[in-house]
Amino acid sequence: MRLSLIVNAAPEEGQSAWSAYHFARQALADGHELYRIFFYHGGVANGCNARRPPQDETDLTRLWQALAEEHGLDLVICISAAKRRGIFNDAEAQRHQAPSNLAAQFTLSGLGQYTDALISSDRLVSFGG
Amino acid sequence: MPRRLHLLAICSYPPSRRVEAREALDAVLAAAIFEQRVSVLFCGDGVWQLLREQGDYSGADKPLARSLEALPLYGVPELLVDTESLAERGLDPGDLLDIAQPVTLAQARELMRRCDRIMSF
Repeated sequence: MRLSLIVNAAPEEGQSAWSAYHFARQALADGHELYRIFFYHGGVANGCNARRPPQDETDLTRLWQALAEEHGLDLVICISAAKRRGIFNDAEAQRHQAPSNLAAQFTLSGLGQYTDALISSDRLVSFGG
Repeated sequence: MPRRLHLLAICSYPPSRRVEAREALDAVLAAAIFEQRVSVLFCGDGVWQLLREQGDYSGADKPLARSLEALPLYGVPELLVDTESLAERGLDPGDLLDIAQPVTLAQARELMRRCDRIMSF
């Protein structure tokens, strides 16, 4: 089955982003296709490379990156939600005179990517909100 | 994106979650712009978004209710509200904006079964 996920919560906001990660891993292990993982609301923090959790805690951003690298995942951060919360890629950082802090493997794009994921996938699974 | 699906957006953020409520609305508008059929169902604390009289303490932002009232102009005429959520909060349909269409829980369930995708906010 072709699945897309929407992740609405930051890693430190409850269990939702972690559940999304474990769901994604299991779905891939079970042979499903992950068409896109879209990060919205506070979930955009999953793609921020300036987060520094304490050393005894796992950094979910790194886990997403490793999973994306291994499986070629499309990790999309909503651009308007990201800008509102201070997350910028190089181009946006330059435009807004802000620090560039989008983690590698993540891309910034618009809500059209979310609509496309809804239409192009057999199921959309939402986490958090 | 050639396919036209029936999408149901379920909105349960209270208006005090101003940013998330507005972002949910943005997602609805985006889907409508891509020519999808979108219905919106307000339930839980999301029903407060439709309250006719509400103070706005968020500063200079445009009130959310004004944006909701504009949805039909963007091709989203179906703004449904769960009557059970209203009753639990001591509200009745008369307290809400005119565009809100009350539906029973059974009708809401039927809509969830019938639509192609659910967006949950």
